[in-house]
Amino acid sequence: MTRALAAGGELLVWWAALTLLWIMLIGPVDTLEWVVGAGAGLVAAAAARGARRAVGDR
Amino acid sequence: MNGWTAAGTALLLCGFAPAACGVATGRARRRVPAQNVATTFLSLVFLLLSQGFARPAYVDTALMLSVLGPAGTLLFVRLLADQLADHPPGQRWLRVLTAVNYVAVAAVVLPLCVATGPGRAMVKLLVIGVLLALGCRVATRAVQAAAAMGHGRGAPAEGMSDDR
Amino acid sequence: MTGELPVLLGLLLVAAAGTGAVLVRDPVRQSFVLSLLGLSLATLFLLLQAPDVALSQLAVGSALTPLMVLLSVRKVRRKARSERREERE
Repeated sequence: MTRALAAGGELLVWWAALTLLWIMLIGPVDTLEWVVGAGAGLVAAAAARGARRAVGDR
Repeated sequence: MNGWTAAGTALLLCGFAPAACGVATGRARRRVPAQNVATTFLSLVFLLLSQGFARPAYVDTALMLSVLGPAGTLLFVRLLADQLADHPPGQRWLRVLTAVNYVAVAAVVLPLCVATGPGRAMVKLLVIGVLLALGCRVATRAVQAAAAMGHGRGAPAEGMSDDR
Repeated sequence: MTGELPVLLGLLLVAAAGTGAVLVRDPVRQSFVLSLLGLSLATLFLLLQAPDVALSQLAVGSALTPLMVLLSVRKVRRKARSERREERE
């Protein structure tokens, strides 16, 4: 149970950070940009968590 | 032609061109660090030209190069690991190049941040600067690790050392 | 005249990188010069006010082309080495 919580928490942190990065890197911001950024951030958060586990659990 | 464009052209002429000569000639121990320096300097040139031509779209090119440059250096290190182990680059030389990289990144990104003013554009510039600095550090450490490893990892990179 | 200087410099860089890519014979060294050629072309496209083309050129020329060349060289040489080893046995 705690492992699932930790995994979800890490995913959430990555997602927030990457969505924020997206918003910082684009031009004018509107609702569509937030939606697209959140979607891309979700995919990238999964990849980032996988990469961190691959590097860290060696 | 304003000051920023002049600075970009000067960096292209006096920074990227010598680094390109270093990439095109010599052994792997010169080419791989020179490739890192060349891509870093070129990314900085793109940032300066973006400010000079007043086109924020050029900053995206610099962002892409700040990610692809170190990736390319790591690729060369991986595939030329045995050449680097045979003739390792000098430690002092590597340190000098890394210091030059860091100084150049700071010298270009900080004035550009001041010129851009606070806002998301400045955050973007700082992100590019951090990526460039991190890329330099990662690339230098990879070169040092490959040089220090000797012939321990002959299997992945064998077949590449038929070179003078 | 000074307005044309950056574009002129970009053209000279592309010419130099292209000539270098032709003059270098060894494929491993050539991969480095091809990466330089890709970077010079991206610079030229940027100076001619085509940043999207420069982005595509960077994506392809700076990392992918050298990767393909080096992987092919490694595969060919490894095969040649194993064939030589078989001949000796």
